[in-house]
Amino acid sequence: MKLGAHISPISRSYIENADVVFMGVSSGLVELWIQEMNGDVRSLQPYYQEGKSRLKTYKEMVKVMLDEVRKGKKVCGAFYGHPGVFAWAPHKAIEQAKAEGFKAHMEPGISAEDCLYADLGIDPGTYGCQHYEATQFLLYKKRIESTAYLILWQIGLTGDLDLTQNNAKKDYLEVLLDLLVKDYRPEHEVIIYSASLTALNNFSERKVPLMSLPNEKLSMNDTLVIPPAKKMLRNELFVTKLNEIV
Amino acid sequence: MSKVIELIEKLGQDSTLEVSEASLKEMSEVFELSSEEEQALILGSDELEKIMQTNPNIMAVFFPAEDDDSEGDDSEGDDSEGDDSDEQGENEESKLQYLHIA
Repeated sequence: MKLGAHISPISRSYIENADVVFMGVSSGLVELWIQEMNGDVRSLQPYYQEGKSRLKTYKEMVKVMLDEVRKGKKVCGAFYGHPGVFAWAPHKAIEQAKAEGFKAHMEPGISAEDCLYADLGIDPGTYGCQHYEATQFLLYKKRIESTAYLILWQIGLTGDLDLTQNNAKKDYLEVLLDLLVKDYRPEHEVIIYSASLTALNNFSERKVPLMSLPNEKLSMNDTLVIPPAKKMLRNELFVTKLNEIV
Repeated sequence: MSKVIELIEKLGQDSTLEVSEASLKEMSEVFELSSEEEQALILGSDELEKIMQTNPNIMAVFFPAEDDDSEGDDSEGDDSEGDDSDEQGENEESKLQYLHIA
């Protein structure tokens, strides 16, 4: 996520040695940085448009990458964070390339999730951790486990289905709050987190009560971290069953 | 590589470098940055993006989009495959090319 720091040597090598690089990255500075690594770097930003369906945007990204592969070029798709996390287009591009008989693979990367654990001192193994994209979390029935961390990604775009707003509207966040207060007290302290994109800026961490969420100014890069609200309960039935085996 | 980008990259890779106003001023001299670049560097990424005239409307969003399938239309993809079929057919070597996602 952080310019210079979090790119792996092998990922950089793929970028430098590709015939053409398509980039979907998180800041203008990162775009400039990637452009320095290869003579033919093309931004995927123009495919995002206000009011345009997300799926249409992603399909166009897949198509433009596959078109170059079909021409016989060595193509690299460079995406911010982990290219396979919350990322339909990179997965689809690989799936489609393989289906057409081309070699394709994904290199893992350091994602915002990894930065979050390090910056906030959270170990997802301690209590468990649920992750959802904020809008998907609203659209589908999920079983919230309030003894574990709940992490909602892209909270700043909650309810935004076609990138028409660029910032979560208060009304949408009120709906999200309605859902969350079924499992959490309104006063429960939550964290609004944003990873650092360059060494010039630190990560951002704001602790606020859950009920103030609709009034918070949120950016595209913000993530909502809801710490556990209840203690874990031992499942005595299965503890007994395990003991019986021994 | 642009001097500014080179410096930010170095800051991200060298654990001995400190990010403070004094050290940024010192490094700006070493990297021969203009006074405008030095000042922007001290103010942070947002200011730097302004003076470097980067894309101001970067969208950094990726959604799990599978459920949008109902509104989608795969015909564009099908068409493109059709357009390229001759190229694929005439040159099996194209199958040896790669797609890397990093």
